[in-house]
Amino acid sequence: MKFLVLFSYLIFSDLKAIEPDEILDDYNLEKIAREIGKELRCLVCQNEDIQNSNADIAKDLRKVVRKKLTEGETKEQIIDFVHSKYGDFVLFKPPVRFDTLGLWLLPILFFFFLSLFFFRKR
Amino acid sequence: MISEIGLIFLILTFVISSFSFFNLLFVSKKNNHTFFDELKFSKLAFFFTIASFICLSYSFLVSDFSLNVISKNSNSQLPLIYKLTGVWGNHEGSILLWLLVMTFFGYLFSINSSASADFKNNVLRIQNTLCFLITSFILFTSNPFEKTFPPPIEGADLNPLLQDPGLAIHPPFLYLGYVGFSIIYSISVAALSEGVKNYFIAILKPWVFISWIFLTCGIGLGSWWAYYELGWGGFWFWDPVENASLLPWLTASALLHTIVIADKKNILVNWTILLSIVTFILSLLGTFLVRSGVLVSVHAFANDPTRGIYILALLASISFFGIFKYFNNTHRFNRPNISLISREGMISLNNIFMLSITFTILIGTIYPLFSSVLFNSKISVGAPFFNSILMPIMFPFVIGMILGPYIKWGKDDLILLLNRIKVLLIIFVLISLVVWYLSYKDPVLSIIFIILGCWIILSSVYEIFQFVQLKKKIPKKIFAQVLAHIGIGLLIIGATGSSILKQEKIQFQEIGESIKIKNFQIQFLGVTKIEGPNYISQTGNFLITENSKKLKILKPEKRFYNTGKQVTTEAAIHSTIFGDLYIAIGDAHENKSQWTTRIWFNPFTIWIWIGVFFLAVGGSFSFINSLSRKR
Amino acid sequence: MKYLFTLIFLLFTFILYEGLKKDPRSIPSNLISKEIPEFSIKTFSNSDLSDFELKNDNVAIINFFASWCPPCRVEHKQLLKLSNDIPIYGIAKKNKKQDLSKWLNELGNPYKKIGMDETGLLSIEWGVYGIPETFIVGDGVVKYRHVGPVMRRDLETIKNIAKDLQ
Repeated sequence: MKFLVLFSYLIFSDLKAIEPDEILDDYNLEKIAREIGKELRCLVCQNEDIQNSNADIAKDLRKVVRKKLTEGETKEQIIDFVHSKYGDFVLFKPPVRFDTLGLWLLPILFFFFLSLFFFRKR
Repeated sequence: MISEIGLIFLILTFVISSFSFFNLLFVSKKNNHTFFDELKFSKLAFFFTIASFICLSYSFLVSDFSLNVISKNSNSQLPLIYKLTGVWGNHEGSILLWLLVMTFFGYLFSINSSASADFKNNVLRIQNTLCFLITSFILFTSNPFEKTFPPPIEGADLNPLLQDPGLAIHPPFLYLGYVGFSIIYSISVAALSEGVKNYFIAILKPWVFISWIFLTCGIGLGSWWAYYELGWGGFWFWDPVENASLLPWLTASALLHTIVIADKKNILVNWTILLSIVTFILSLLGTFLVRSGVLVSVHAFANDPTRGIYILALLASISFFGIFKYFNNTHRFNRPNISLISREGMISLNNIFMLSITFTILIGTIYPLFSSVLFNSKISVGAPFFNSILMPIMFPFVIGMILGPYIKWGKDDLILLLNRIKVLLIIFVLISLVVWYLSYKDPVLSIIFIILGCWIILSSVYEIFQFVQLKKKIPKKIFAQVLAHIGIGLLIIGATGSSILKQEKIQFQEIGESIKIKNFQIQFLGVTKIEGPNYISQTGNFLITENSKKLKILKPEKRFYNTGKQVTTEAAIHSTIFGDLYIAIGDAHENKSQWTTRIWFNPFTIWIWIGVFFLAVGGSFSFINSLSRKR
Repeated sequence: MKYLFTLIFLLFTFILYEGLKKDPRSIPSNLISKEIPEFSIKTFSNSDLSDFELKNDNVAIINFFASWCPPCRVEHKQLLKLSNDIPIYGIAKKNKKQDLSKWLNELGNPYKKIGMDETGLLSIEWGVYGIPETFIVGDGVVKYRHVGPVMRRDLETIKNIAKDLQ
């Protein structure tokens, strides 16, 4: 069924992702830029991170990330900046908060519930 | 004309299966075989559906654009093979394929299962009712035989991404898996009505294995396609649609493990039944998520709200019926009395992990929906979330997987166990040192995962070795387990290599220029323009030299369909057991003397597909074993 | 157990049902009720435009657009109508000057000033993810965002919000 979704890639499948002239010369900074890129969602795409999308907005965001990195900002600062501008939707890993508590807690609760079910002594 | 006949056959399926539906709802269960012969209904439903499907395929082949789906999803210029596979390249046709598979499994069950006539009748009553629900969905919301007037002279094209052999055979496999779980559901629910005995487990077994094998292949094919077609070498994206196919696969994998002890030791029988039901429910949930457009991912399908509501109604009623039956017929949660250090304990542990992973992925996939409904907040859940939760689970999971097969039934002792496998432990230490020595420069995480992968493979091989040493014949089920576990080990190594260890070279490459990656020299020879049957391709030519030995010329393409409106990238891949050399070509610059080229070395990627193959072969051994035992 | 299950089941179904009515693609702006971002930018006529200027206006509309964007052409007529009541500032994203002047000559100019966002950085400061996007600013605070072209049916909403602010 996956194939159906991948229709979506079509729109941007022309060219995947980052162009050579975007890449930073500094290997370590580029590495951080990629880590950031993988945590941010391309807002107009289906389910791609900005690192691997060719949409305009993804390209702009990649540039901002690299610009800010070369200006000496940290990974956290840059992610916070993008988050403050675009809201929660841009983060692929949601912040831990009241309304996302279920996302983080339910899997753990489920694990304990199952463990009890199988192994609790009668 | 042919299309009208197709519609009539579909209506006949509807009528026949409606008998089963009314039988299930209104007629008392006992002694009604004379009129309501469900075996006959199953056969008829299957034949009508296949006739209808053939009619639709024929209409696609002759490009009958008076049909709405065909005018929107096919084209007279299309190569013959894609005209045919275009049948399931759209919502309506793929749901008809879904129905076809469902009736097919009903038919197979009616002629093949060793169950008593009475029980068969009960199972098929439920299976036919499921068919009835799907048929009504097709007829009322997604009729593939719907006409369009006036018929266009030429159809819009089949999505170019779907014009690919890998993708052409991917959906049928996936559906054989997905929908195969319907018969498991039917058997389980019917067994519940009769009071669960492990007699039913033996009937259930082969169907679980066969569906699981198909789903495994289907998912494998899908990610293989994504790997070579999407142009940047990824193979799994944690997309909602991928997750939707993974959920039933995970519960079915858990089911494969418990069904063995339910059959053999008569423990966890209720649990096995529950898992079977849940597996099919998850298949349906996946369908709902994909077809209704509630999640960002699937806008490809026309989001007709009535369709969404219809599938939700199906999902709700089928789930409720199944789970309600379960609670009604199993009086209390029969908690098993299992000690952790025992084979049963390890299989339970497997189930705890498998289901926790399933639950995590499920929550991650639908939480954006929850938060938007309950808190009106828009969030995204993607790869970083799944990785951060699932990575830690992998460690205990893999350790359990390694120790499990060496632990005795009933009760075992950890010290005795470790003593028993001390040779294996020494091998583990040695291999870890070797891997660490070879790759100490790589990220720690990759080293750990590759070591874990090696451990799984070695411990599985050692199992076989023990049998050989004692000159004992290797039982089929051990062989199956060993193959499947080796498959998982290979999968872990392949996935680690192609995600963490990937090397890339992205540049504007001049014609004649050589790029070095790993031991390869990649010389760009230029771009030729090639005309395909319904596209124009810019084909790059790259001469690959390894250690100054000329290997071959790789030809990545950029294809322009529909006079350039749609573009696809076709990567060129040189696979070796150590890794794939992967080249994709981008745009031209500087008067076509420079092109953007993306070159990757993806270590061990081929082992992902070989791993999937091992899983499928392992599953097949179990399948054959479950058949032969019955006779 | 049975009741717990039924409860969870009903909740689940309810959420999926409600989810069907929601559009997963609409993303709310994170700038609503916040002060507009600080910025300073060259304009089309080579003067300057900054956040101070926007704060001077009681109500203002900020419209992110470009001459290369087809939907922007669609909304242009509505913007001309709006410009009679409310000052509209345009931010042209990655737009060449000659293309823009040709465009304005052809369609008319509803903008009080047009900032030239050559790099697209200002658009990111405003959380713009696709053009056209239109913001209503009241006393230097972002009040409302409209994504996509402003159509005739949207005029009413925009005018009402502006009226409340004045």
